[in-house]
Amino acid sequence: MEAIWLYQFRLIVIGDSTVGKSCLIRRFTEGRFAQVSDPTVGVDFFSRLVEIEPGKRIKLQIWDTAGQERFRCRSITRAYYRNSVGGLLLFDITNRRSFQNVHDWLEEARSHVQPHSIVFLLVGHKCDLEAQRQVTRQEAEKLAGAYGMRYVETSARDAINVEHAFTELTRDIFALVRSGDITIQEGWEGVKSGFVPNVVHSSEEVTKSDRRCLC
Amino acid sequence: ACSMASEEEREVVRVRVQKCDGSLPVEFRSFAVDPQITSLEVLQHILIRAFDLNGRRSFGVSFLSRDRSGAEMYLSLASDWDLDVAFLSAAKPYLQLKMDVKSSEDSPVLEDWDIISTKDVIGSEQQLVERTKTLASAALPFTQSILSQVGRTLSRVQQALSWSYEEEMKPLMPPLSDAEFHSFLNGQGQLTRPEELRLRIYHGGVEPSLRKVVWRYLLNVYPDGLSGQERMDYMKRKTRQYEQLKREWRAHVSVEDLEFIRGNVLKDVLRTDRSHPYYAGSEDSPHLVALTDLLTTFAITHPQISYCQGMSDLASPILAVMDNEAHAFICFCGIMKRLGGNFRPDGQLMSLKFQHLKLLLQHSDPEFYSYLVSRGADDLFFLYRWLLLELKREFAFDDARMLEITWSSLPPDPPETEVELLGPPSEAQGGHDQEGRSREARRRMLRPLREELDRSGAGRRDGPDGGGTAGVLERQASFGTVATARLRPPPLCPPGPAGLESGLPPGLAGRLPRRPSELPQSGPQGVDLAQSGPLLAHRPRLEEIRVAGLRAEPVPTPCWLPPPQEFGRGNPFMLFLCLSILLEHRDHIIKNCLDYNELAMHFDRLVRRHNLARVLQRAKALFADYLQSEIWDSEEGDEAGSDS
Repeated sequence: MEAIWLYQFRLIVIGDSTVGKSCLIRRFTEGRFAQVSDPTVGVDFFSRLVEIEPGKRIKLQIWDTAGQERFRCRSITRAYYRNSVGGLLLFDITNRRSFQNVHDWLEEARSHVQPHSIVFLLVGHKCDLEAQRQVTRQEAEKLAGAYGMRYVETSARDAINVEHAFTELTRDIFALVRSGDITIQEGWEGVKSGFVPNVVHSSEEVTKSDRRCLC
Repeated sequence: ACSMASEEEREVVRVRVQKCDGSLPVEFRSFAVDPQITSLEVLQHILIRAFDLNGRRSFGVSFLSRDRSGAEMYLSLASDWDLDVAFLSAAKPYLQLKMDVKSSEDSPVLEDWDIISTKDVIGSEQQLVERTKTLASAALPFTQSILSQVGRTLSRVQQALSWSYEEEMKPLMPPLSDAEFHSFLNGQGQLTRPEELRLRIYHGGVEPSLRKVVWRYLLNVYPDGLSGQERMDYMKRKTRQYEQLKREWRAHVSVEDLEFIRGNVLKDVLRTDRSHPYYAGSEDSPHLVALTDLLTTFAITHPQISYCQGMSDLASPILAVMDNEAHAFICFCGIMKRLGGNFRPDGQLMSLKFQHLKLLLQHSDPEFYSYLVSRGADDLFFLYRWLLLELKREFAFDDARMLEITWSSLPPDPPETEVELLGPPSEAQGGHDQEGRSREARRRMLRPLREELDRSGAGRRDGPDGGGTAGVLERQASFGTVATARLRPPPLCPPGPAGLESGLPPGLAGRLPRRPSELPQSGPQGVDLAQSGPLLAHRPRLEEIRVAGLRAEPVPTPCWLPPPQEFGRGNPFMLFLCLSILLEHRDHIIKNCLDYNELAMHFDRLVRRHNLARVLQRAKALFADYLQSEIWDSEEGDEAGSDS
């Protein structure tokens, strides 16, 4: 049975090294938590379907970026940012510096996508480690407010708010697509239109869609 | 990995292990594993836990196999591939494993080989003369000596070219042994034939116990011509130098910078190869501390590149082999002399490597290349890690053969006097106060400088004349002059007559040698070109090109490959390894119509799981083919020499 989706959104996940980007994505896409995972070099790639309303599925392509490494190829970094419609901007609630660097990450992203923009969600990660918290929820919410973003606290280890974070961001983007604020453009990978169920295809389209394997 | 799909489903495999550890009593453990999810790394991890092994110790694993006659023997379990074989063929009623624990005292000490008796001293002077001659000829690209070897082993290469996938793979040669290594040294312990040593290793790798010694040659640690005693003195002196540098951290950077660098290094060290026995165990294990110190020292002494993610991957196997922090550092400086550019903020080297890989793919498999174009994946950026780390993470840790074979494909590049342990000072140094400088450095760790941004040339579709990144590409374009075109007939993309590909099954198009009738019959030296492989077959000879031009057919975009000394910017063979991996999966990718993200995910899933034997065999055949097509093409040799 072929998976059918309305749209495909490309998301990028950024933030300092070891704030838990890969772990969060793995929890979301694979449902597991690994204690030790390789440092990401370049970009790792993931995908998953989310259902934002009954019957309305969005396919997410999630690009997991290296936290510390300065990308050595500007053209690569550029391609990554430019082709993303949304992003999760992560910091580690037990690491104040990662919170302070949120601004730099945002600037980095903006410098690449101007004049376009990316819909970001600010994520305070590792919220299971309450005892080691260095960033209060209030100040994070305040920062998110200043940037016009939502704020969510997540834990990949305890699977807290992981689904919620991705789904909320997806819904926000979906609303913008529906309102026409974000439009599908040729040569831009941020948003792609998918195959709509219960719509009569021309025979040609049906053949075309049959060839796809989204497993 | 594709071939594993059809393997018999087996839910659980029972494993029985016996641990042999010197004079200690043999211990046994039993457990069960799910073969679908158990990689060699996982298994090693289980074993370490099962026997409470200290992370410091290394061990070898073998499994009991029975041949058709029922005779039993232990086969080495050194890769995921071996493990698959074990699961498939030796798991009933249970898989019987043997662990041989080596304590570090048992492992052979390198110095054993470095002390060479001084008999036969008389012969050495003559050898010195010979060596000078060799050096002169070494001014020509090293790849030419690979060539002469290729010439001698052409039938083998052909075998490799015409292998069928089902056929059992055999390594061309056994790994270099201790005794054989000695034959490359003269009476004083001088390495007299460095090129030949490399060729030998290129064909079979090195026995693991010899790596400690041989990797230092391959990583260009030793200056030319040292005797055994001199090498020992040299390593001692460099070790003292390293210890000194390490003591001087604080003289180079502020406390704050040191903390910052060390913190970044540590974050990665704690995640690098931790499932390998050498790095397993607690977070304060001496091996992890050594890796952290080594990388921190490198970052501090090389402020222009500092520390970048990925470096821990490059240093990890070197430390595990050297098992000595200072020696590993010296070797790391050797490898970073060549690879440091990968980590430079301007990104130029990486861009060029992408360009070259793209050219090669376009050249070797136009069909797959156009598929990637159609999916917007022809930038190949999803292979960033492959090129940055020279495939280190794509193969199992214990497939270190990949590393040494790759290194041995490069010409010897010994230091003039000695390996430089200190990099050039940071460009940013100067007028700023220290505080400002370190803030700047830290900012750069996070994101590149603004001026790099302007250089991007972002995402341009680069043909050979596409302008691309910078100088070297322009140089490539300048090959298009009449003189070089004469010597290096550009192949055509898409290749040859349009119908040529169509008769072949998709998986084979562009890979098999053409039938002789489809090829020009002989090269300048009377070599039957039909015997060479796919690359050449794709490259019409100059005459054909001219004819094509006269017929006023649409002018195809020429796409030809740079000569070995430029191709891959210092590592042409690496490109062929990458190409081979891509080709291993191209059928699967095309058949399933994978998009950019899906094919990138496909390769991510194969991290540490690629089949080294297959990839190597294919890469060597394709590489040999590329070299042949270059050199056996008339006066090429002279030209190639003067190009560099």
